[in-house]
Amino acid sequence: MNEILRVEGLSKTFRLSRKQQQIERTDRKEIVAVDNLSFTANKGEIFGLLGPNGAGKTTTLRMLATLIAPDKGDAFIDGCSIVSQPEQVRAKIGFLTSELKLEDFFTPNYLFDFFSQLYGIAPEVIAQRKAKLFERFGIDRFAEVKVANLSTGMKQKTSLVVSLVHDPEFVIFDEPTNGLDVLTARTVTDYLQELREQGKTIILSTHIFSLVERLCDRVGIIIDGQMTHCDTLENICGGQSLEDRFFDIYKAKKGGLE
Amino acid sequence: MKESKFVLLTFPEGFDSLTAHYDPSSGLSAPNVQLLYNSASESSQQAYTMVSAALNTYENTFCNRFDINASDDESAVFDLASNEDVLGNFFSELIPMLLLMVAFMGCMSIAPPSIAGEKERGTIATLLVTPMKRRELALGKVLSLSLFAMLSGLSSFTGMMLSLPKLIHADELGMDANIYQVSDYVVLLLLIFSTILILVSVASIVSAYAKSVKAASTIMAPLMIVVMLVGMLPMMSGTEVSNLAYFAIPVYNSVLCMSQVFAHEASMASIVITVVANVLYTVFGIWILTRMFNSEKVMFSK
Repeated sequence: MNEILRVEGLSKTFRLSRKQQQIERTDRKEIVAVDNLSFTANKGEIFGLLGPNGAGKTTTLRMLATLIAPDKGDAFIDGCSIVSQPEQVRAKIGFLTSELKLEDFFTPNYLFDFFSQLYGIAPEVIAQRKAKLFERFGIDRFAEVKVANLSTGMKQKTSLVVSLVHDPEFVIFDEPTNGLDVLTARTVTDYLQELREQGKTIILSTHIFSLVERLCDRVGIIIDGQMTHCDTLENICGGQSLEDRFFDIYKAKKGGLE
Repeated sequence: MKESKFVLLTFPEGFDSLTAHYDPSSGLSAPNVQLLYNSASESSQQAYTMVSAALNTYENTFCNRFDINASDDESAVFDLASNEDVLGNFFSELIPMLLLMVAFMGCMSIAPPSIAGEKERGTIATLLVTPMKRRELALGKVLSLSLFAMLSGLSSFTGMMLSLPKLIHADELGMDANIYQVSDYVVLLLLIFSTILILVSVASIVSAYAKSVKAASTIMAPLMIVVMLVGMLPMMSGTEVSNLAYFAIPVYNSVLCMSQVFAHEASMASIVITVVANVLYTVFGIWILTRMFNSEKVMFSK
């Protein structure tokens, strides 16, 4: 297997506000969001980060996308360090999260061209890729409607397409189906499988077991910022359903379900 | 007399002949007019003031030995200041301050939505994950905002220069407001543009720091007052400056330099120092903005 992502001891802490310290009755000034995380992902696979809310999945993905910098550790995407070569990393990845919004004033058509130009793509390639992707997601029907007037599903599709303008080899996807209706969610997950068939690598975060079971080749389970298990789906489950296995792991780690 | 609301005048007997024959150089006391009034009553007080003023004027007509600047010839000119000096002086006190205010208001209205707004709406993160350099983003923001602020500044400037002569009734006073050369206007535009670059940089940094458009506008309000006060400095302290180093003080240098241009007093050195200093400050501002775009604490503060 061809290793494309190597995460080495990634850590991130956030400051606690004074009021939050009082709520939690603690003197700790910092909260550890991601704690010494290490894992690898291979080329052409879908890697899932599974964990409850607040486990540090999104923080990890944001660090990989170079939006925030790790306090300790490093990660290498296709040989480029997220700490010392953030611009090269950004050119290689496509990052998708509900956090990235599109300006209401523009149309999908305009946004596709604009972001393509930011990646320095040739005009012929832009037109060709746009035609293909717009048709694939049915965006051609609302290509000239301002983002403000699009439905949530249409907006999500547009965001997806905009983050893939440069045909990245490595796709980072935070909660891919959150807030989407079943039809749009299906379109998105189908497309992720399509991307894998094209040999792209996808790393996604989710707390939905069925999504992991259906899509992921390998899974990393994150609880409280730490990677407790990281292996292929079969090896982790060992015959159990993923859901049962996850709760066993969770209880073992936390000593109960609280 | 207690309840009187008026003034009681008491003239000496034969007042007219007494005044006609009185010689001030004789050393005798002059004929005296008595005015009784009640200072507690407003109308009485007013009447007293009016009557005594009228009497004083009447007294002056007796001994008018010479006039000042009286002339039958209407074309006689006594004020040696030329039309240009008067208008120039007037413009130099007022317009730089107004221009500065208008320019800053232009920056204030466009920088917050463009930067704090992008933070608030979450669209800046979409830009930040592209391989675009943060420096390019900072430079692009400052230049594009400056262009629009410049357009707003230009239209204000044109309006001001066209309407001010009307406002002060220059044509009725026989003044020609057209007292500046094309080169003066070119220098002014250069000064305004370099000033707008600084103002936009400041407004951008504030906007990048603020969490929302509203917060950015709130921080901008006291800055506006500071800028206005600086704009009034030449009005109070004059345009003559002993040390060229003053032209390195941002904002103040621009107002001072514009004042001098309007008063036809500007020197090449002061203009060059002002423009170069402004450009340098802008470069510094863009550097700060780049660092802010690079900082996750600033960009993702909630």
